[in-house]
Order: sequence, then structure tokens, then C-alpha cells
Amino acid sequence: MKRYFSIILCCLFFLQHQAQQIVFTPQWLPQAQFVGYYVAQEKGFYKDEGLDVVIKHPSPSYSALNRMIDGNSHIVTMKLPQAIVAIDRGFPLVNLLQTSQHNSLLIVPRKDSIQVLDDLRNKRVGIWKVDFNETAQLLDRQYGLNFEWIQFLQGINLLVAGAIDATFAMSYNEYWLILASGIYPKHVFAVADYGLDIPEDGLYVTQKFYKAFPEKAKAFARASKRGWEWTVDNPEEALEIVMEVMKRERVSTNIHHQRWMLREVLLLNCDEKVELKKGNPRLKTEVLNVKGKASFQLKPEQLKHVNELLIKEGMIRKGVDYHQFWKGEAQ
Amino acid sequence: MKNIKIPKLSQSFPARLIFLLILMTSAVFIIAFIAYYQSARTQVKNEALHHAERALETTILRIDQVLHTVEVAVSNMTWNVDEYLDNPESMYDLTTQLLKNNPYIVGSAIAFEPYYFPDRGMQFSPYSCYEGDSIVRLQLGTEDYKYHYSDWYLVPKLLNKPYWSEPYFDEGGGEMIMSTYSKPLYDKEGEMYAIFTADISLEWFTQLVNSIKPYPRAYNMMISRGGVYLVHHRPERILNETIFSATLDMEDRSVLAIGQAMINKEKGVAMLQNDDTLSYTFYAPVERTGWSVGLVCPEDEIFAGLDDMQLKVTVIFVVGIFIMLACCYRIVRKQTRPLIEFTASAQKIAEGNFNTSLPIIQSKDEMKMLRDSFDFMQRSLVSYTEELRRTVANKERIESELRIACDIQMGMIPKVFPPFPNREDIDLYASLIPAKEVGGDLYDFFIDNEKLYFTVGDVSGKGVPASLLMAVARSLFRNIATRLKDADVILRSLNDSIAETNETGMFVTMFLGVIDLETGRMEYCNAGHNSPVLHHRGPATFLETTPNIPLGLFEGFEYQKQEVYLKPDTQLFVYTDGVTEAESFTQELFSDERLLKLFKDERPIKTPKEKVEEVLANVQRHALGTEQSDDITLLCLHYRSEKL
Repeated sequence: MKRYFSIILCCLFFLQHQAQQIVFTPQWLPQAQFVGYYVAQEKGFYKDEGLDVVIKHPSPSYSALNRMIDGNSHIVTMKLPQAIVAIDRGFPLVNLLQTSQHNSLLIVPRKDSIQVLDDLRNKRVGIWKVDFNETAQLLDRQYGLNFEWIQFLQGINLLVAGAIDATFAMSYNEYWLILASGIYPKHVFAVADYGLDIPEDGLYVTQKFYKAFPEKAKAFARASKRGWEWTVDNPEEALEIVMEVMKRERVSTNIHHQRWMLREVLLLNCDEKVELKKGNPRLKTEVLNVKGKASFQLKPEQLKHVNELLIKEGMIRKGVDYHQFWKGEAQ
Repeated sequence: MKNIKIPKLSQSFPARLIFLLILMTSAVFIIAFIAYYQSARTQVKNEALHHAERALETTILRIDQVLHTVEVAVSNMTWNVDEYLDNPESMYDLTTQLLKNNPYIVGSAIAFEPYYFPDRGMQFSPYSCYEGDSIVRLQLGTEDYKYHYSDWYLVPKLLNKPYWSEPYFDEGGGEMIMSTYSKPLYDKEGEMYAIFTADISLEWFTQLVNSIKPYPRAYNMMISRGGVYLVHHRPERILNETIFSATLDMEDRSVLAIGQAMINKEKGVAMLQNDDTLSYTFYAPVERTGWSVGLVCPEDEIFAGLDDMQLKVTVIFVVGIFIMLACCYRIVRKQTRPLIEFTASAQKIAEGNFNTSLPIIQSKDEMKMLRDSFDFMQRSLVSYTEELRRTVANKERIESELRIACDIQMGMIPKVFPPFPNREDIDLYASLIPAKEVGGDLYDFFIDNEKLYFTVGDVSGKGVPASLLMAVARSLFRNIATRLKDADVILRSLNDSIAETNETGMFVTMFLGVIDLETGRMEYCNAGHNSPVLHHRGPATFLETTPNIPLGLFEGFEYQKQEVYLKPDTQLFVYTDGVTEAESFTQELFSDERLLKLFKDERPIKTPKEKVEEVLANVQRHALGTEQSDDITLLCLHYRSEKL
């Protein structure tokens, strides 16, 4: 009898522990894109808020959103359009922290003969398999480009092998990889330049979770924001934390790539738009010194803009309500 | 320590000679050595290039052979896939069989298109791989690994040709770098229905590539199509860095060009600056996969042997030069020592010590010739000096005799002025200045029987012969004048006497006058002499004279006498051509006109002495700066009329 009792106690303790532990999943494999969260974790900012956080990364096939839908993650990062589409499809979410203020999506052609956006019409264009390709689809539909979508898991090997005509790339990640592979494209198309400067990464929880643990959600957002702000002040140290996480997770990378990414991501977080440095063959990563102001706010007009675009292109039926959606701390 | 005195180049012939010798030797050596070094360097470089090329070719050939084996193994198995399509489970056997058939293959899958076998669902990919030494079979596609979107599946499908994947790290499996060969399979309609894969480990390649070690510090690398390091001597770069990213910190950008050439499947060699080391980078592609193998050889190691030799030769040269310097200096000094001794001898000879001994020269070279010349010069000097001494003694003797002759000559002519201090009716002053020690001019005068006989003459030529004839003429004048009385008779007699014994063709110009002091009547006769100046009242004039001819030319010549009455207070100025023909330094003659201008007073106011001195002073002023070329004789007499 005593033995059963102890088993029940253990189970209760385990459940209790499970209920207290927060699983956070960024939308991609470990890299400097999520530096604020790694910093918050490594520097104990989550602990300071009384949170027990564990970071679990998705795989190229199994996205963060799917992990949340399956109940494997509590808090995730997502791109704004992806979250709106998910809500439209019946999976209510709330935004706790809008880190990105600008769009990083680029189209990088394989050959320099592609000089204007229209040259990409009917071309084979690579896009990630995981579901954060709404902005790419918006571009395709808005400009009637009729891309032949080639979905891939990750990397730039399709482009290097010449199997596709162009690929979508993040300015902070794949674009650097392309340059580092010795391809210096003359013409690069930033989606933001075509009326689609849609904010990207934000911090999301399900509406259900938010209703159940509003304080925890807010505390997580607060600690994360602190992590980001600390990064701006201590970029080189933050970079070391990223490299350590990536090493632990056995992800191939190098310091040049992550420094580039860190700088780009911090620039995207700033309210003011910064022009992308296109095709610098030397890849010389400048000193990390981002002095722009980051608000971490989702502004009503930003949401309105994305709502309208998605409705117009028939990707959602109706837009999300700002007040129900945005639960971030007022500035 | 004893101070070593370094001779100055400008002061030492041996030092200068050795300096030039060493300078030229060094120049020749350096030029020869540079030419040799360049040639040797080119040869060593060509050999290194050849060696590296061969090593790379061999390595690449061996890699290619393995890759080819894998490709053939997969191709051979594809027939079986077609044959057993009705039995999906048998696909596992085929992949297992492939592993067993080819030792290089560590995993193999036949990945089918979605729902190719409807009952197997969307993902069906039988896969065999090694787990330890045994082969395990499993289904590759899962919810977490949607293989249809993998590179190894997509690229051959899109390109419709086999594809060697970019190498990757096989995590959780073999824990090694792998590459997958993917071959698309087509049905009878030409539709692709599956991708047949074979995984190989790159470990063997890594070892193979790393085994190329032509030089101790040489290293190798292999990069993928995308520039990713597959082999590198710094393991942390493998799969983490590309050739373009890893060298961001390097100053030398040539690595970018090398990287580009390598990913473009080019073959070649390029220089690379890496951490202060200049290296030759040889590279060649593995055509089948698009990978590229590079061999980086530090330049200093390639040329180590050559540089070592260069150092040795340089050391030998420098030491040799110093030895040569010392030897040459000793030899040249020894050879040129007589020169210093000659210098001392010459110094002594110059001081007058003609019997100074000369250095002894044993050799029969130029130094001996110099000694002989010196000896000859010394002897010549002695004899010359002796000759000179004799000549000087002779000269001194002759000069002394001449001085005596001059005194005797001067003693012949009256030199006491005033000559007639007791007479008031006549005053006379004369002066003779010979151009040389003895002269050919003469003057003389005397009063006999109240008549003043006076004469001024000029013997042709100068010096001793003229002076002798002058002495003769003067003696004859004294003898004849006192005897014959008439001016023309006197001159005729003088002419005959001189002409009679004149074998040298010399002659004498002469003016002779006889003044009757009581009447003022002057008889005169001129033998080719300048006309005297006559001054009484108003400007002076030349006395009218018949020239006749000089004495001594024609015996028996009839000289014509003339006469004039001198008014009281008349001055007569008789002179030789040394006065009127005195030359200035511009070769202008003193001339009759200049002479006449000196007598422009209304009447003769100066005494004869004053007049003679005035004319002489003017002549000397005119001829200032030139040597006196002719004897100058001036005679001035002042006739004041009857005795007071």
C-alpha cells in the first residue's frame, strides 16, 4: 500500500513539474536568429521571473507550430502572417512580443540573367517545406509570378547544384550561405521592396495557454525582451552564447555566419528600416554595433496591413482582432 | 688593442685598386649567381609543380575509381528494382545486397515517390545500413523526416540525372562525413518513380587526401561544390566553414580567386598569402562530384634546398671576399712598396741630394723599368746640373766682363756736366742710355780753337759688336776732328776708315756739327742720321739736313756739308732714333711729332740738362711697360752768342 502511495506521489510531482516547466520552441534550428531567448536562458532571466524554461528546437520537417498544435511546446516563435493564417484555420494564438519589425525575405537567383522580378515568372523557385512561406506566396500572387514552387527542407544545395532558378532566402541566414559558397548574385530581390515589408518573428502562445497562465506568459515575454536588450548591449558575449548553444545542439556553423546573422536580426528588430547590404563578396562582417531603437511592439497598422494583404489574396477569410491578438506589454 | 689604420681610398693606390677589384668581382659574382638562382628556382618550381600535379592526379584518380565503383554498383542493381517492383518488401533485400556487394557503400535506400505503392502510404523508402558490423533495415521516411524534400532526392529528380550530394555529417549513425549518390529510376513511360541511393563514407578519402605530404608543412584540403571544407588540417573548419568564409580574416584576397577556380572545377596553381607564409596552392577537381582537392605547399619549403644553398654560397662568397681582400692588400702593398721608396728618393733628389740610392728591384717588370728611368733621370740630373753650373759661371763671367765693358764705354764719352763751366756762351748736356749692358750709340764734343765739335752717332745693331764699332767711331772722331776741322772732311775720313775694315757690313749714322762760337756759324754734315731739332723763337723745327749715307758703307763717298748761323739763344737738340722710335705697349712710335711738341715754348727757357731730362722722361712715359729696345742718346746744346 505504501508503495502505491509513493508511486502516486511521484506521478503527482512529475505532473506538477510538467505543468510548471515551459517548453519554448523557436521556429528553426539553433542560430543567432533566436539570440534573445538563449541569452535569457543562459543569463537566468527566465529563472529571475520564476520560470522553468526548456528550449526544444523543431526539425526541418516538424515545425514549431506543429509542435504547439501537438502540445509538445508551450511557447513558440512564428512569423506574423503564419500566426494569422493559423488563427484563421481555427488555432487561436496570442502575440506576446513582436521582435521583428521588418521583413528579411529575399529572392536570390542562380544566374545573373534574372535582372528584374518579372524575369522570375514561371521559374522554379525554392521555398522552405516548413510552414512560414506566407509572405512568399503573397508576393507570388500579388505580382502573378506563377512560381513553380520547389519545397526543400533546408540549406542552399538546390541552388548550388543548379536544380532551381532561384531560391527564397533569409537575409541573415541563407543569403550569407550563398555568398559563402562563392556565388555572388548581381541581382537580389528583397520582398520588402515590393510593398511587403511585413514584420516577421514574434512570440506566441495559444489563447488557451494565455488564459490559463497569463502571468507566466507575460513573465516569459518580459524575460525574453530583457534577453534581447542585453544582447544589444553585449553583442559579442551574446554571440558566444549562440555558438555554445549551436555546438551543444551539434549544428554546423561558424562565427562569421552567426555574427552576420546577429547583426541582421538586431537591425530587423529596429523600428527604423535599414537597407540590406547586397552581395558583399568579402562577407566582411562589421563590428556588432546596432544602436537603433527596438520597441518590441506590434502596431495596429502593421496587423491591419497584413490582415488586408492576406484577405485580398484569399489566404484568410477574415482578419484577426488586434486587441485579442496582441497581448504584449504596452511600451 | 692595436689600432688598425684603414687607408683612405683617395689616398691609397692599393686600397683603391682592391676596392675596384672587389667591386667588380662582387658584381660579376652577383650577376652570375642571380642568373643561376633564377634558373634553378624555375627548375625547382617546375619540378614541384609536376610533383604536386602528379600527386593530385593520382589521388583524384583513386577517389574517382571508388566513386565510379559505387555508381556502377548502383546502376547494376537498378535492373533488379524494375524486376521486383511487384514486391515492395524485396526492396530491402536489394539495398542489403548492394551493401554486401560493395565495401565502400555504408547505406542504401530506394526512396519512392509519394504513394507509389498506395498501400505503403506517402513515404516508402526501404533503407539498409551498417550498425556495427551487421546490416540493419529500416524505413527512411518519417513524419519527422520527409525525404521528398531532401537535397539528395530533389536534385536528381529536378535535374533528371544522378547526383552526388553535398557531404554531410551522419549524426546518430556512423558519426562520419558521408555523401549520398542518388540515381533516379524511371518507368517505361519515362516517369521517375524512385531514387536509388548509396551512401559512402568520406573517411577513406580524407585519409587518402591527407596522405599527400610532399613537404613537412604542406597541407591538403578538399572542398565541396559549395566551397565547404571536407578535408582540412584544421578539423574545426570541416563542414562548418567554406573556403570563402574561413578566410575572412586573411588580408590576402587571392584565396577568393582560388576558391572560385576550385568550385568552377578548374585545375591550376596559384599563390596564397596565409599567416605571413607565401604558399603555392595546387588544385584539381573530382569531376564526378564537383569537389576539388587542393594542396598547399609553403614556398619556403619548396625552395628550402635552394635557399640553403643560397645561404651557403653567400657565406662562402663573403668569407672569400674577405680573404681575397687581405691577400690582395698584402700582395699589392708588396708590389707597390718600391713606389713609396721612390717617393722618398725623389724627395731627397728634389732636395738636391742627387746621389741618393734608389730602391733595389729584383723583378724585371714595370717597376724595374721605373727604377731604370729613375736611375737615368738621376744621372741626367747630375750632368745637367753640372752643365748648368758651368753655364751659370760662364754667364756670370761674361756679365762681369760686360759690366766692365760698359764702364769702359761710358768712360769714353764725356760725362762731366756742365762741360764748360767757365764759358757763358755755350751750355751742353748729353745722356746715353744703352738698351743692353753695352750700347752702339755715341756722342762726343770738345772745343778746339773756339770751335765746338760735337757729334751724335748710332751704330747699326746692338750689344757688344755695336759697342766695339762705337768705340772705334768715337776714337776716330777724336783723332780726325782735331786734325781735319771741316765737318764734311771729317765724315769722309771717318767713312773711309770704317769702310776700309768693315767686313761685317755694319754701319754708323752720325750727325756732326762744328760751331764757330764767336760767329754762331755752324757747319754740319749728316751721315744718314735723324735731323736735329732747332729751337730759337717760336715753335722749334727740324734742322734741314742732307741725308747722305751712313758711315762705313761705301768707301770714298763724298759727304756734303751744310751750314747755318745760329742766332743767340738757340737750342740744338741732337738725338738717336731710340727716341723717336721708342714703342708704347700698343706698338705706337714716339714719333717726330711728339718730339717736336716738346719744343713749343716761345723761346728755349729750359737749360739743356732740363730739356734732356724732360725729353727722356716723356720717352720713358711713352714706353712704360715695354722693354727698351734701342739705345737712347740725347744731346742738347744752348748757344747764347758771344762770350759775356
